[in-house]
Amino acid sequence: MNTDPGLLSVKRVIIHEVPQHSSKTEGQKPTLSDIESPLTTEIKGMLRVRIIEAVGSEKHGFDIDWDPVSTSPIPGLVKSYLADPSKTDFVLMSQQMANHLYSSQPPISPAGLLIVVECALDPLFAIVIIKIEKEEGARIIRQDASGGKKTFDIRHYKDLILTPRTKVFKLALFAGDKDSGEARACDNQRAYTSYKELADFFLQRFLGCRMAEIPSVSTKKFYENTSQFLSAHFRSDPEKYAQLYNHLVSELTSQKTSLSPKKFAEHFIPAKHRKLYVDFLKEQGMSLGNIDKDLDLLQARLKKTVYDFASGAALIVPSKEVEERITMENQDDGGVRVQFVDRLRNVHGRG
Amino acid sequence: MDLQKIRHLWNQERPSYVRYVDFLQRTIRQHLKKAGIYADVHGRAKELDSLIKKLLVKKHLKYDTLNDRAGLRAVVRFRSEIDLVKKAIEDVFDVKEIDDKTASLQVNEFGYQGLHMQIRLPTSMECSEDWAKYEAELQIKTKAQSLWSELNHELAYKTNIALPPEVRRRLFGLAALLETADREFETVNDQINLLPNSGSLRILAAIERQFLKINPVLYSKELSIAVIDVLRPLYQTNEALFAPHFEAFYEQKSKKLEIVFAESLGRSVFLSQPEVLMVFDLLDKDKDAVVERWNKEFPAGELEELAGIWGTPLN
Repeated sequence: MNTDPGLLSVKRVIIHEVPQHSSKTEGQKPTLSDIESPLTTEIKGMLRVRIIEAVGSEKHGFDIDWDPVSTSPIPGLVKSYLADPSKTDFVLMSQQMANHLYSSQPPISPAGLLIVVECALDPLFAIVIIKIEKEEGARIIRQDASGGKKTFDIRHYKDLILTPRTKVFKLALFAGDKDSGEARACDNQRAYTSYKELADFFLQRFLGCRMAEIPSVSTKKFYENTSQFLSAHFRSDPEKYAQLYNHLVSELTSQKTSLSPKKFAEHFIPAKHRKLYVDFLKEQGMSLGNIDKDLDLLQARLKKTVYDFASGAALIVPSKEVEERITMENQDDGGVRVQFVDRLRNVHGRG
Repeated sequence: MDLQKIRHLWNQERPSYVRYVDFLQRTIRQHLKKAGIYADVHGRAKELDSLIKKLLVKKHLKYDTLNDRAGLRAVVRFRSEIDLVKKAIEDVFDVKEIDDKTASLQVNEFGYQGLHMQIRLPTSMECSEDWAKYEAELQIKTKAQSLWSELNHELAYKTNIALPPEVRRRLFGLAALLETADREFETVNDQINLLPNSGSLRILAAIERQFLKINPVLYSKELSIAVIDVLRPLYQTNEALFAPHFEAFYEQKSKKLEIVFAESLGRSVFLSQPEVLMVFDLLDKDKDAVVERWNKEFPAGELEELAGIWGTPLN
């Protein structure tokens, strides 16, 4: 997302309660607010920071765009709102969103609140959609507001909605005008394999979106940019260079379903080079947040690690064997002593 | 002089003057804020009794020529700031007359001081009423000058008694004393800023100028210096370059600063401290370095809050 989230201001908010949708709860329907929730300066400020923290989260945030094959009504609702908010009935739009959430959610999706926030992201208009899992037993009370209309008052759910303690928090921000737009989402479940179905439901079936960059491309970019950085900064220290490259391969080939460039920097890149590395990734247009790991474009390259030496010698080792078989030690003259342990199978000519 | 007629006229006109003074007050505050000048601005439309008494005492004046029916005062900290306010006012208003009371004193005279400006709204300025013919007297004074004129007014005029010469001499002695105090405050301030170890103060002065454009409030200098001392090493730049640096920062980020301050009322005490601009500037440049230095001296939660407010969350 190119627009600075610091330019965000909150205008209106509305809350709807969406029950679980399973065979046991058949017949239930969302409890909708008829009007917006009352807002105070304090609540607006809290909500603003909460949204900024979510979309700016390097761990849980990611850029999204519309999925052209989606049948979700959300893209249509959001696009027509952003084109001209004055022509949109905000309450009705949010109710349609809540009804769609209920009818499309899988039975494993627990009951929760759908919060729709009208914002400005100067100079653009913006809509923020938040889904929060409701604590077991938490009572959500709809109250009469002026004219006998019902509303959920956000001030009563400050602790549930506005603090980083909220356990499950899914959010999407759409900003734009009639000509263009951009979007970003945050999902604190996305990094966990067991919740992937729920995370995908929120992003794809509910929002009608997809990640802005195909995961296999992001993964490849991470590998290539990190390799390039290591080569540029650690070539004079072969022992460290080889060690860091091994970490990179291990990170990519581990069982984890996602990877975080920021965490990689914190765990493996020496402190002295960390900022340089992070800045380099940013310069290359990479987000530092979580990437859904997809090795489709890297399978071949990750299988083997190749060590090229100045003399023309090369050592090609299956990547998973590197740690066990190779040790390196820097020499005073700038060279490196490599110890390779294996059983010799054959010796033959090449060329 | 038909006092009944004057009473009737002023009773009719005064409500409009009250709104006029209120508009002027807001406009002056807004423009001083824009210029980065701290001044306490207040005003009043003359009370009926006070207006009539003035006409009774100063017989050469007439209702139409009374120039302080709308009166405002801008009180600054140091004498050098009077000229800054004057320039800011000249940039915005039509100035009909300037009366420098300080300059008009003889070398061996002490007494009422300050700068009086007779101002009108420029015709180009949009306002809710037709105030084109209204004028206001704006007095620009230091705190010491303001103190003397208020007490002098209280003691010498309101008692309505002809004061004996020795009492009057004491009053003028006080004027001399306060003028000396004014000069001393200014000199001390200048000397502090020139001390070799006063780098943080000079940096604060550079940041303050921009900060007052956004949030003209009094702040804790002690806290400012403590924060600047902690964060200063993150700038590789020479002290002299802080002023242009923060001027450019303000120019580039003025819209964002306006939004951030308007949307974050009461969220952090640092929003009423000038050095918050330094924190914001550094959060844009190198978050990790700010966190490392800040967390050694100040509560981590405050920086987390400021980072969220600024749109650069730390998570």
